[in-house]
Amino acid sequence: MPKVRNPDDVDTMNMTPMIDVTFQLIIFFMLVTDMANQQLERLRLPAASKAIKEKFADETLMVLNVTEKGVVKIQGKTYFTPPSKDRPEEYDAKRLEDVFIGRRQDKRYQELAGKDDIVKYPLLIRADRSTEWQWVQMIMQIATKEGGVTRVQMGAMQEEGK
Amino acid sequence: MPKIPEEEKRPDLNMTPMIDIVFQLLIFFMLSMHFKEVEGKLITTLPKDKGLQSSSVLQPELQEVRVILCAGGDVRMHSQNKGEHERVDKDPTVCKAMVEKIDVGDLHKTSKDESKIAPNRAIYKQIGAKTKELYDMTPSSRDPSKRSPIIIDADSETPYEHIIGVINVLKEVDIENIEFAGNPRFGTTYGSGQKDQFNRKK
Repeated sequence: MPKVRNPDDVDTMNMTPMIDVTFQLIIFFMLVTDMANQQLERLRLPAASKAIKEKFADETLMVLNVTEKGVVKIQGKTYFTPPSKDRPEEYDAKRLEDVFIGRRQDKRYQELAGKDDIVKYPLLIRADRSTEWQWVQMIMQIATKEGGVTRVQMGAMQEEGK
Repeated sequence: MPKIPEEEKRPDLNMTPMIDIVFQLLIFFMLSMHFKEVEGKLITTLPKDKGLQSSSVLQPELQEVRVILCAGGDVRMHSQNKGEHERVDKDPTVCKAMVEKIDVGDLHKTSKDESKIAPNRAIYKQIGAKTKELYDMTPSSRDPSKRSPIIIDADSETPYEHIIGVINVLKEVDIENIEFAGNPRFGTTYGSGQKDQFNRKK
């Protein structure tokens, strides 16, 4: 006589290993995801074997991101948009200039206050590998003229094994 | 006292909502993920407190070594006396590299063609070798005990990767005295008009 199955006797799948694996995956993705650093735009930086490692630990570091099209972004906000190719003379870098004027004034106040530990405000320019050089030139020229910047760090990918 | 059946002692915990949430989290992190990349920097020095001045163009270091990058492959013959410009072919992906008047080769954009990275590196090496050769035999006209600076004179449209490639190769041959030629376009039209407002009175 065939065994009669009790309808309440349902086979349940053991979910514990699946949940364990899923939690492991979540932890992995949380660790490798870099969402905290809003300063960094997604750019394809050129590689350089002589690049020094940058940890982005310095809070005074100003990071200027220059996209492939020449758009300049600081902390995710756009500070400069290049003019169209047919009207190259119509460019407006006022916002960018104001950033450096403010930076210089800040430094000046510190000097006047006689502070010994003047914040140096390091500047890092991160540009896409195919960004036209003129937009990086523009930043450097504004930085020098308006902000009195004398040292610029240029972003590059560290080549493997270096 | 009646005995409680075994099944009623252990109530079932409904895991379904938790699994749903966990999967949502997993999908979120998978989609928003990009791997942390090892980034570096190359440190360069700009002229102190000068900005772009026309004098830097009119009165260049008499003995200097120029690395010239011409975007579009147009050959621009530099002559310190005449400032001659001679345009030849145009290709937006090509950039002609010259050390002084010596043609080193063509650099290519790698954004669409990764296979060009290796040939570009070979050209950078040649630029480094040729520049080092000239650098070692060129004393500075301002201070003969020092070496003259290397000036990177690149066209506006030159891709940034070539500039980094040249700076990198110059650092590899122990040349740190690197300067950039300014762009007159930004030297004449930008500025707040508040000239000398920050000049220190001594």
